[in-house]
Amino acid sequence: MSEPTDNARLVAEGVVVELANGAAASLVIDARAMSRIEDRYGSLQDYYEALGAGPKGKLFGLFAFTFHAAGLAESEDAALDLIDSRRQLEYLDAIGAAFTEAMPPEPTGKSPGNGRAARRGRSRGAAISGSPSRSGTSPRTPSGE
Amino acid sequence: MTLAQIVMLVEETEIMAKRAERAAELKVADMKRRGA
Repeated sequence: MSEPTDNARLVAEGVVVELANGAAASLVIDARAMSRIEDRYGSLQDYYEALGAGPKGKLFGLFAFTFHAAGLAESEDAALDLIDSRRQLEYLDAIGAAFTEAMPPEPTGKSPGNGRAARRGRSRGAAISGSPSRSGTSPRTPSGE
Repeated sequence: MTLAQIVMLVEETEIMAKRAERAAELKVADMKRRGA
């Protein structure tokens, strides 16, 4: 009863990703992001399948769409400019952590997430800095760079 | 095979492994979320 709603909880957290322009942005997978991903991939399961696809799987497109869906860029094309190809492993960790955070905690009372990914706690203010318009032109940059 | 090619191959292998790992994690998390 005292638990926050999913969106309130998710907005309060995020996973920091370092972008190609040198900025750090908070990747938050909320309901809006999930909805966009479902629209594109058909379902979250299909998105996971694409994420886990073999060497022929399109990874940069997946990164770009995920960043766009999470509100880091106003378009998929703009998101491509934010991808640092040297950080693919970090982005995979960040996406995994952001989605894990998006899942409600298990009934056993364990905290969500596995702690292995690149999740770093950020202040509430930083995480919601871009919340009025998730499709805005400015990526969420908690570090203010 | 040059050293650069070897490095690229290793990186690609790491990426493939991580993709598979993350995908598997998310599938499990999603199943739990759905109560399966």
